[in-house]
Order: sequence, then structure tokens, then C-alpha cells
Amino acid sequence: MENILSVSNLSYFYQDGDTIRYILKDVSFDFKKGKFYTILGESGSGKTTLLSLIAALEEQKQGKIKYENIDVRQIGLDKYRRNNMGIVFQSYNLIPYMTALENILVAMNITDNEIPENKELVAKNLLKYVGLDNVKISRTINKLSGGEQQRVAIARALSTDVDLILADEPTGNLDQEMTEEIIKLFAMLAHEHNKCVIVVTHSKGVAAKSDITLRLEKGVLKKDE
Amino acid sequence: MNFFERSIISIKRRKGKSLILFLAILLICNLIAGSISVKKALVKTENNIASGMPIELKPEINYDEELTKEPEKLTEAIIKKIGSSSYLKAYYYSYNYYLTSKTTLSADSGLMYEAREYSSKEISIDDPFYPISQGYFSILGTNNNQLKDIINGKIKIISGAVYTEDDVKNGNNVILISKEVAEKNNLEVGSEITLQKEINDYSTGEYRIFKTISEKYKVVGIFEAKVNKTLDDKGNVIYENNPLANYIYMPNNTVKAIHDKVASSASSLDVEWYDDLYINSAFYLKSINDIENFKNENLKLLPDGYKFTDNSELYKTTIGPMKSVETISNYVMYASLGASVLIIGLISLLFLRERKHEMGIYLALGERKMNIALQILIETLAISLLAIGISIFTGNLVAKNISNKMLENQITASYDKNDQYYDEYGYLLNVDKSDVMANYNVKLDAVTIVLIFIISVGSITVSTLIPIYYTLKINPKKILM
Repeated sequence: MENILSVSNLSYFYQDGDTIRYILKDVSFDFKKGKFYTILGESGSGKTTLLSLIAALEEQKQGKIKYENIDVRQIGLDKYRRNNMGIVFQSYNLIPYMTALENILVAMNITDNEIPENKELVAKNLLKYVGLDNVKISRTINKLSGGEQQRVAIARALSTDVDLILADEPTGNLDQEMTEEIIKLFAMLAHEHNKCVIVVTHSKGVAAKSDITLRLEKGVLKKDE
Repeated sequence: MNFFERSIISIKRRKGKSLILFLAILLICNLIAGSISVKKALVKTENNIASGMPIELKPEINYDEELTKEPEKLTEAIIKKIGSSSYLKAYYYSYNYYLTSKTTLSADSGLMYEAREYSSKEISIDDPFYPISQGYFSILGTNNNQLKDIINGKIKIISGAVYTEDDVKNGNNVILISKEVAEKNNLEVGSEITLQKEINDYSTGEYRIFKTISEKYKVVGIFEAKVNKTLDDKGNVIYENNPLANYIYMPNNTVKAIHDKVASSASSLDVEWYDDLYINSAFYLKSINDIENFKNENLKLLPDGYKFTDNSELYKTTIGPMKSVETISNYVMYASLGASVLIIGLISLLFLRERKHEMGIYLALGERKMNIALQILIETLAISLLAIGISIFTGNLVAKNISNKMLENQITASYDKNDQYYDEYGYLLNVDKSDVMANYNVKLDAVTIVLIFIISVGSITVSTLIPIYYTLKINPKKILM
């Protein structure tokens, strides 16, 4: 199975005078397509920082992140976010005055990736795939439940036809039933659509459903055997 | 869905915010549009009035200084030398003379018909009909056929034409008469009239005519003169008359010819006779700013005891009220522009702070910053264009009513009877309130509309770009995670 994302010797720290406080220390790992990963850790363990670096929402201070063997800085952080990865946030982060469909179309228009001509049809199919019916896809975001909004966020991450899906505590605001459905969706994306899904979570239940669980403790990443 | 479509959706779905922005821009643009309309109308009015009021300088004897001897007379040579100054756009000089007629009535000789009864008899100077027994005409010589009074709008030719340059050069007996004289005497272009000068004497108490010099003159043109207005102390017109009705225009050389004949006859008769020919000149400057330079350059060419008088005070008196309103409209415009940058900038900043989350999402999705900036700019400008479009008409309407009243008040307040100026014919030179108000018209034309759009859109763009710049510096991680 091919590597899609390689993290090597990644460190992130805050410097206060002569004191350096590490959030991430020498993190290295290779992520592959077709696998569902969870990064498990307590609050303050550095898991969100790790995800934000992988998502290129900020630049790493030490180490390398390579997407398909090319340094993301070389790709360009904006371009990498636009064309190579999709991200799902805990608080969904959808544009509230737009409909579910419009939120998907926004992302499809931003990416440089080739999207089939009838973007609206592709977007509707994606929303149906994540479990939203025709009525709901035309509703503005603030008229959808938390679970429905998270489905829209997942559809948005998929809409740009990327192979890397990142998620930051995607079930943090959802009930048990909805959590299970969303996790099933992530597993399906990895296994049936050959995506690399990386989910940051503090939930052991969620981690148990993943193919590979990584544990982040005091900035150090370890693979659960 | 590209940034343009996102802008339109944002405007439509965020109706409350769009309305607040629209109202703020509408208010400010009304002020901007109104002040620009007023300024443009004032500049146009100033230009119209100023074009009818050129900057004129005249050489005159300086009675402010004690004269030790009679100043020498101005000559054509001096006037021509001064006339070559580079500060001038034109100059004119005129031989002024006085002729009478036994056969042609003056415009105001109502009793002439009865006086004719006496015309074959000897008329005493004490006779009540004496002053009206003849036509009395002021003669205005001209140095070319581009008459100053036509250019300045004092007269206009209503029949025939001004004599030719050849007539001027050769001193042909051709004349322009007033509409009133033509009507009174049934004269038309091509008619001939006889004008005369009596060499007379009444020093002994007895009125004696030694000789009458007559010349026939052909009417080549009939003019209509502007009415003269008398104003009350608020600048309103209370009386109108026509001071040029009894004036006859002819070439300077024609005037000199009859004067020379009279002088020569008087000399041969050996009578004590004084019949001087006066020369009047006027110099028109290109710019009001050149007055002092022109005076410095040419005062030395004038004979001792002369000075230049100018009409700059009249110019300032007339243009002053308009300048006051223009200053106010300038202040309103600058204040509006400042306010637009501040208020629209502040509103944009507040709205963008609210939308920080949305901007963070676009950045997280990898959207180009330029597209995000354009989205916000399009949203603001789309609302602005609607507001500006409405403001152009509403601002114009409001400005029209307010500025009309302001200008009228300014003219009334600035009007001072002591500042009335008259020309050599007795025309009141001050522009009356009704003339200014008739000229003043706040109206929309293509240039004004384009100007309002450019200034308004410019200020709104500047006021939006600053908050956009700060918004795009946000770190999406801090907002979204």
C-alpha cells in the first residue's frame, strides 16, 4: 500500500526566553491510502496541533511533512489545502447562511482539481451518499442538526476529489448513535474508496473502530500495537 | 460557486447587514453627490457670469494724487503699445464724439414732431423745444469691427451686420444704429441719415450758428441693446432702461474725419471754438491674477498723472457669494469623504469581524486571498452602486433646494448698495440676484454622474480595503480549531 503522507521528525514548540516547551517532539509516521487512522490523546497532548500541521493550517517549525513524497511547503500550503486534502472540524465550520448544497459547491469551486462538469449533480450525490435527502440539502446550515451538519462537512471534504481526509474530533459534538454512523462513514471512505482518513479524537471508542490507532502522549507519537 | 456568486448570496441572505450598509452608504453618498452637484453647478455659473464679466483695465486720470499740471492726452500710439502686452487677450479704443441731426429723431425725442414746427424758425436756447429740436447722438468710434460691446453682450446686431475691416481702415461713412432709433425714424439697413455738428457760440448770450458741418452716413446694421437694471438694497431689480438707445457706432477713422472737418472749418472761421475728441480704451486680461503684473509692466507707458483702474472688486463682489457656497459644498464633500472612509470602514470592519469564521473557512479550504478580498469588495460595491445610483438623484434634489436657498441668502447678505459699479454708458455692472439664480442650475449631466460614481466608489473601495487587509491576516487555525 502506497504512502500518501509522511511525517518525519516533526516538532512544534513555544519558546519563552531560554525555555523551550515542546508540543510535538520528533514525530514521524507514514500514512497510507485505504487506511483509517485515529490519533488518540488527552486534552493538551498536541493532537490538534499535529492535525493543524498535517492540514497545513500553520507551518511546522522543525521536521518535514511530505504529501506523495513532495514537501507540502514546496507544494504551497494554500495549494495543498486546496487540492490535496479535505478537513472536517469538530464544530463543522460550514458557512451558516448558505445551504448544504452551496457549502459543497463553494469547496468544489475553490479546488483546482478536475470536477465533472455538472458540479451540482456531483454535490447532490455526495450529500445523498453521506445521508442527506433532497429536502435537507436545500436547507441553510443553521436549519440542520449537528449530525447533519457534520455529514455536510464530510461531503465537503470529499467534494474536491482528494485522497486525504483529516478530521478533528468530528464526533465531539454528536450523540452515540450519530457518532457511530459518522465513524462508519469514515471507515467506508477508507476501505471502499481507498482514501487515507486521519481522525484526531480523545474517544477510545472511536479509536477502536479505526484500522490503526496512534497515541500522542506529551508530544510524542506512538503506534498502538 | 465562485467568489462573485458567493457575494450575491451573501447580499441576499444577510439582508439586515446589507440594509445597514446600504443605508449608511446612501446617507454618505447623498452628501457626496449633493456637494459635487452643487460645486459643478457653481463652477458653471461662475464661468457663465465671469465670461460676461471680463477682467478689464482702463487708463484714467489719477485724481487721487495732486496734479501739478494738466495730464497729457492719451494717444493711439500709447494704447497700441500697451495693447501689445502678453497679459492681454484683447484691447479696444474708441473715439467718443457727439453729433446731432435735423432729420433723425433721438430715441427719446417724443416732442420732436411739435419741435419740427419750429425747425424752420430760429430757436432760442431758452426755447422749451430747443433740447429736443434735433436728434442728439453719442458717437462711439471703434478700432476694429469686433465690437467690444457685442463681445461683452451689451448689444447684439438684429439686422444687417457690423461694418467691414475695410470700412474701419478707410473710415467709410457707415454706422450702426439702435433698434429704437431705427423704429422711431423708419430706418432700415441701407438707409442714409445726415448727422451734423454746429460751430456755434452763445458766449454773448445770443445763440449764433456760424457753420454746420454735415455728413451722410449709411446704416449697415441695427443693434438691440441690453436693458440696464436698477437694483434695490437687496439686489432685486426695480427699474430697467436702455442707455445705448441714442448711441451710434462707426469706425474711429470716420469719427476722426468729421472731427477734422469741424476743426478745420472752425479754424478758418477764426472763432473761439473748442471741440475735443476723446479717446477711451479698455484692456482685457487673460487672468485676474495678472492684474498687478500688467500694471507694473504698463503703468510707465501712460502719461504722468494716469493710473489703471480695474474691475476686480466687481468681479469679487459678484463671484463672492458663489465662492462662499462653493466653500461650504467643498467642506461638505471633504467631510463626507472622510466620513465615508471612517463610517463605511468601521461598518465593514465590524461586519468582517462577525464573518471572521467564514473567512477562516475559505482560507482553510485553500481559497486564494485575492478571491476572498474580491468577494468582500464586490459585496460592498454592489450595495454601493445601488446606493450611489439612488443618491445621485436624491442628493441632487436635496442639494438643489438647499443650495438655491443658500446662494440666494449669500447674495442678499453680500449685497451692498455702496458696491454698485457702472460702466461708461451707465450700465449697472453688478450681476443681480435673478441673473445669478437664472444661471445657477443644479442638474445632472454625464460628467457629474461619472464624477460622483468615481469619487464615491473610490472612497468606498478605500474604506473596505483596509478591513479586508486585516481580515485576511487571520490564522484559520485559531478561528476554526
